[in-house]
Amino acid sequence: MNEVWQILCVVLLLAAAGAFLSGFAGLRKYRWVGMMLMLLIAIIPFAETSIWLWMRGLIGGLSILSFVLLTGYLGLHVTGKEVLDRKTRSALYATAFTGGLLLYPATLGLSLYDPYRLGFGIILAIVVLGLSVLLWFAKRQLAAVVLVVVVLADQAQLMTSINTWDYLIDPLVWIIAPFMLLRLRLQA
Amino acid sequence: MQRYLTSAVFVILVALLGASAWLGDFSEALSWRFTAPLASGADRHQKPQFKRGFIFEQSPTSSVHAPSIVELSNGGFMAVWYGGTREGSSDVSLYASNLDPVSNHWSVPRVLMGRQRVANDLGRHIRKLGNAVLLSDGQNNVWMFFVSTSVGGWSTSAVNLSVSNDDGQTWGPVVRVASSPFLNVSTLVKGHPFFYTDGTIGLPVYHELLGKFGELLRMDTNGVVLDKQRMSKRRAAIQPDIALLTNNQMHAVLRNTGSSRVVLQQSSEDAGNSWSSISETQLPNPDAAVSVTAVRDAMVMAYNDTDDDRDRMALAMSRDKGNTWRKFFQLEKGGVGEDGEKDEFSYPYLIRAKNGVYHLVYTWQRKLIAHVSFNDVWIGNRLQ
Repeated sequence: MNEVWQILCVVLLLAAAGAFLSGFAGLRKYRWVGMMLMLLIAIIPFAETSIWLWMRGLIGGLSILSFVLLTGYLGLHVTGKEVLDRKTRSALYATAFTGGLLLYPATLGLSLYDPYRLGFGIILAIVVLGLSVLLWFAKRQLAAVVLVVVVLADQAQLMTSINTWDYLIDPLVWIIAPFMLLRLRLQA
Repeated sequence: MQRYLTSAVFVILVALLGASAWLGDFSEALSWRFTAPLASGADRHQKPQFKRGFIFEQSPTSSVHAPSIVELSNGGFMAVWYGGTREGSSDVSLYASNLDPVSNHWSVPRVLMGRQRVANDLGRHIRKLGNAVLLSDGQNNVWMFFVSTSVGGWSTSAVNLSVSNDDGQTWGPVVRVASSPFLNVSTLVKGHPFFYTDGTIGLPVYHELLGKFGELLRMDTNGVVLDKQRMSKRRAAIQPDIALLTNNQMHAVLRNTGSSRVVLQQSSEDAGNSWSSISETQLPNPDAAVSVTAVRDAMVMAYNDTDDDRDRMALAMSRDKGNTWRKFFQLEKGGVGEDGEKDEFSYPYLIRAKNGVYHLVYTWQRKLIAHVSFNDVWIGNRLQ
């Protein structure tokens, strides 16, 4: 299961990179081609490795939030329709940013207490479920469902990790989150 | 009406999921208890024993480093280290040699794990291999935890696990230990792994990306991390090695990455679930690895007894849980080698076997792996 998840995450990330680069180059109409080209380039071996293996070495698996937001990004560019509405994206990016702010500085040694430890027990899962209920009643139902999926995936041990933090966020979505929140605010 | 109904269903589902997670969490509650190693062999009627030598006379590689050693179920020992053109080069592999319990000779070094094998098993790019440590359950099963990097330097390392069910002759598929939320990077091993009484494994590790600190991982025998305890913060200390004392107490010694240039230490009264703050020993430390083991509540440490280089190696003992340490033997005195290079004796790894004999391995000039064995009577004589 873990292996499939990791492969899926890398495929998604490469496809998203291909779509982004195509758009950046002004070739919006050819995003499909850009995605396919990126996946093809990724598997070409060079110097005993490939972009594919390198990416797998670098990121392993993504969190559920990253996965959903990337799927939304690709969905928009493949179908032309908004898979995740603005409210949902905003709620998910805000969750990722706040979560990362609580987790990463402390994890990197800023404090003696390591909040990552909370993710091994029940506490973080309960907090995530509580947040999902709040989002539901704040009319962010899709975002609420995504958070429930986070806990479900954790319980099903979709990845090697049994830590809820790993299902909730990862550094990629945390780094992107403030920029996306700003962009969403400016577009509003 | 339908909106209220949907909301009610959602809340009920969330509550059920929470209850399920809660019950699952209780069923997996960890017991913070371990069994202190037996004090067998600590017999004053024994003869003093001290022997030093090398695991091999001719290295299969131009550079070797970071050995560790474990006692196997047949009473023999297995040492593992990494070797290649130089530290961090792409041709570095993990090598092993066995000490036969009957002939008392080390076998010819063999490749245990190569970079390509690790890359194939993990399906990802592996740039270099590093420190490895071993754990045996005395029933032919041996766990090997080792470091690898995919991108960047050692600070981006991850820990991998391979298990042998035939006392280290063959090794199962390599799996990655998920230990860090930061893309699972910056977890490294150096200290002894050990078993808790519930069969889970304790693995002292350390973090080197931005912050530098020790951690204790608690994992099942498949390498799934069940809990993790931070030992310090900021950029104080790395490479914890843990001595298991009596009454569920632990004592850790650490490499000092700061400016004070002394060996650091800390203790736990609850089997590693919480740790005291770090304190300084009287022993010098040149920002180099140290190793400790214990019998009853007495601890023996191997360390570089200089604060500016790794050209000296010594043994020290503490009988008062780290309050005082007394150097009792100078293993290496240091100087300049025949090639004009300054000596290097580093990365000690010390264990105490079931028969009470201590086995120490360390890097010798990056060319050989030194092996020293001694017993409690010999230590007693040195301390008189």
